[in-house]
Amino acid sequence: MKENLSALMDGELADKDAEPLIKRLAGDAELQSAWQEFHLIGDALRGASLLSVDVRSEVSSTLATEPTVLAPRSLQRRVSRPAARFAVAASVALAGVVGWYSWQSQPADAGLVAQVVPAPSAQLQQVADGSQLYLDAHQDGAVGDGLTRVGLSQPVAQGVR
Amino acid sequence: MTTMSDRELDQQLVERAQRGEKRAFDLLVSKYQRRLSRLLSRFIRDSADIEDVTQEAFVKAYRALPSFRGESAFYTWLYRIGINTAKNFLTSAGRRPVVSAEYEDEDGDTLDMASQVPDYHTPEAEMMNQQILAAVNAAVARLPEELRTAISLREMEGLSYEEIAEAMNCPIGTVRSRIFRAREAIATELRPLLDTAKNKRW
Repeated sequence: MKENLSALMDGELADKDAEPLIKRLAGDAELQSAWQEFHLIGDALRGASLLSVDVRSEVSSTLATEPTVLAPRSLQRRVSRPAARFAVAASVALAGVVGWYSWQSQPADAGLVAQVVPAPSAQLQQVADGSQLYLDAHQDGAVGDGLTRVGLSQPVAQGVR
Repeated sequence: MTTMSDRELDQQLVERAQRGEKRAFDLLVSKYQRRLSRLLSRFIRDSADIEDVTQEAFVKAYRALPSFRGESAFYTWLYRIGINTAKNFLTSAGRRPVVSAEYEDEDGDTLDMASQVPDYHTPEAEMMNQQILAAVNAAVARLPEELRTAISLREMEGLSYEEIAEAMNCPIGTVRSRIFRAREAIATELRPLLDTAKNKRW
């Protein structure tokens, strides 16, 4: 497994092996320290001058107190089937309404918004994507990114994958 | 067989972090912290300050992560945040960025500090750097030759496995295994030093 990690770091691991390894990396302390050590070694061999810098624990303890960021899936993901496109269009409209509603009425409850947005299918990812543009254009107002983003992005976490 | 490029790997980690997996972001910190500090050292002198600004830049990057769309590589985006964080630091510390106007580009966005490379780190940090470097070099020197050649061609010359296989006249699978064994051997020798450093720190 560590040999796969080494190859992954070099851009030499097959896609099909890379995906499960990345997934596994998140929960495997041994792989994580190998990742840290291997990168440190690479930097040392390339003559980097600041090898002693290590802010991992400071950063992660600061982040532990932060709200978790949730963002829409990347825009590149496309929907190909016409039926799916229709579903997306409909969902975008709905999400738009919900987003607009939450923006208008300023309920300071992200959980509520998350519940209002239904999560019927994987296409919901697209909802988050599409409506984000809409929301980006409309959120100069009082309700910050946090609320609308959290609300609309929630289902993404449960989507495909 | 398509392999996952470095940029794709970063993008995957970013997307996982964007979906709420903080651990994925830790991995990016792990990977880029030394490179980012090295960049920052071009315009911040004190090594403790460099470390603080590095830390702050990563926290800012995490907060800004929802807006990262993968149009640029993750690290160029991170470096930009790092440079802005450094500018703010220098301004608030009352130290006008030692850059004078002539070093700024039209949008005033580039800090090219090449002219005053400071290398003015605190003795402890400097000592630690030296120790890590010495340990890595010593470990590399002790490697069997074929491992040493493979890891050097990879890390110093940036060759692909295929190119290394050609240069060393061996199968790609052998290259892959040699590079891994080299890393393991070096890591094993490095570990006691890193553990000591961690204990000192805390």
